[in-house]
Amino acid sequence: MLEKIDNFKFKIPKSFKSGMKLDGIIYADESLIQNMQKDQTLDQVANVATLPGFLSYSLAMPDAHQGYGFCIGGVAAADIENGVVSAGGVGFDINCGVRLLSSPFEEKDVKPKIQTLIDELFKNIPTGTGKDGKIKLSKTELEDVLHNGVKWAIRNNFGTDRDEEFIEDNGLLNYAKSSVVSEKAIIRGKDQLGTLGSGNHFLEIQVVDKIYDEEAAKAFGLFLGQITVLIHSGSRGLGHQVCTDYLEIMDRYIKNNKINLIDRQLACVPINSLEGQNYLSAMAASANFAFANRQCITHWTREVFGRIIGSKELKLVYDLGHNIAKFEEHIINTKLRKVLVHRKGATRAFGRGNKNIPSAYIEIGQPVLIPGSMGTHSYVLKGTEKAMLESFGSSCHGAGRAKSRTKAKSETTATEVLNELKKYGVLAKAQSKDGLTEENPSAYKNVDSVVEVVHNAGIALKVCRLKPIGVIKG
Amino acid sequence: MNNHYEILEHPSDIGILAEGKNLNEAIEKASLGLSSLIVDNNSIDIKEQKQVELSAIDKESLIIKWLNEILFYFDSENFICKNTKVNKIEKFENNYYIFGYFEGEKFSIEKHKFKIHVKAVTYHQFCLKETENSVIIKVFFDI
Repeated sequence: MLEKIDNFKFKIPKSFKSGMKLDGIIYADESLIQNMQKDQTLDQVANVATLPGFLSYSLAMPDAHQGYGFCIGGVAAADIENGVVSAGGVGFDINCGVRLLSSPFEEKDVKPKIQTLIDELFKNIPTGTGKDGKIKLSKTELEDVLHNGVKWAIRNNFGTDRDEEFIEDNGLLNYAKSSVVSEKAIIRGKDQLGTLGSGNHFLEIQVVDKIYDEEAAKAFGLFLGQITVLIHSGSRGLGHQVCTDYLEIMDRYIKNNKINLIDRQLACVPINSLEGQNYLSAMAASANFAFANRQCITHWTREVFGRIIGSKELKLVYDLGHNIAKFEEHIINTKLRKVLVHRKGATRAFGRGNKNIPSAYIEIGQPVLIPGSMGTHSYVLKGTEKAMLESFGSSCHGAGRAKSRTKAKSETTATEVLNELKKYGVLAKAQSKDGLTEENPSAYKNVDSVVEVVHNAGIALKVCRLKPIGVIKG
Repeated sequence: MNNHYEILEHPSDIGILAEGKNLNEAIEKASLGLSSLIVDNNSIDIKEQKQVELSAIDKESLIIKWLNEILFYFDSENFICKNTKVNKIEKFENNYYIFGYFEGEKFSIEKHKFKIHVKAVTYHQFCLKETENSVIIKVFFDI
């Protein structure tokens, strides 16, 4: 049964479920772990531990909740020689992620114009519903995006060279191949570049309202009272279709090779198989689309700020993905090994000195961006050396849902949500009423306690807190 | 269960439980459930028809593929589905085949009440239960 390791860590021993090859480790406090026990989170952490070729342990972050296949908040590292890659372990929204922009403005410069700012952002940033995308690409142009990621966006005047430096992997996974992305995925994606999407995706205007680590905040270009913008979006229909296509391919592989899986959604193939290599190339193409997507949204945000507030100067603090599998080097049983880290609703949190983080942050550690729910705080943390040693350089990705969509919707109305947010000082605009009610703040776990757990466990440390003042949603 | 489908709760996503007299009808009802998550079904008129032919290794993945096709048409052609019709499901050698059509119209933000984007159809807790007089499909979607 579940064992408590310390105040912020629990262990699911191999004896929990037959077939487990590894222990499960869950970062949580008493209250968060109790909530996880109400759904299938622990079972899903254990299920991942039954897959072949994963190393050390199957992890879950404090925002973990029941997903499909992997839990949301799940992290696992596969041996690249003998391990597998699981499309379900990355998720449908490939390289869904967040990026934070810092402004030279303070709250007093923006607050009086917040209504106009939100209206204009809403008008200028398409949600992607009903063909409202502003960028229509030919197949060849889309393939260019898939191969070049953010470089495509910068070449087409959607950003600056500086932006590229402050994106995980510089906004480009170089093993992308559009030839292994299906025609269907191409068709779904070609009018969706530069669209926000719905569900939990959003763009938020925030104020830095608390600094915990002056040195790190300074290095990240953040100061008290400053206006920031947080963008949360992913690879849209293109990524969803790639995942759907490869789930079928992996499912077929499992059947043809007579492999027994504990959950069909965990369908996986050896990394070194043709199917595995093709998936990783298609996943990389989708990741590049997501990087370019957030870049285009950034461009329009800058334009709107220029028109309404008087300056386009929004600097990219960092952009990171939280649904992705990455080739990385980690110490496994005292040896440095190359592994494929699956992060399904978890972010990378590399500590200082790591060569993969921007040189401006090398003495600090990478920024770890944790969005809260609408109306609650978001956090900036920094990655740590401890994360490198015990969580494959990973941390949590958000608040995590606490209530089902149906329950959240039944308990409130869109008007009530808008009024409630207004009371907190947050102006919200959404395309759909369901988008507001299903995503209302009470539907989420308390982001503060999620952040406290990763901070106290030492796998990411608090740098500053961001309070929302305006939000647009699909 | 009513004549159509039932919405199932999930900690982060949404599911549908659909029952029909036979497999074809159960799939049609699950499809109605899915399209009703995206827009208000009553607001959709029938102006277009999409012929659908798909194959898969078993009935479960065939149903998932059919439902995914509804999402594909929404993203790719802006087409929203009011009804679906399954004409035939057959097994040939090692594959299952489904033939039918979707009917509906192009989505318009002014005309149709948009609810939410459904990203994909999952195998998570998927269940197909076939008995002599009824077929039940339980399926969860990623939102």
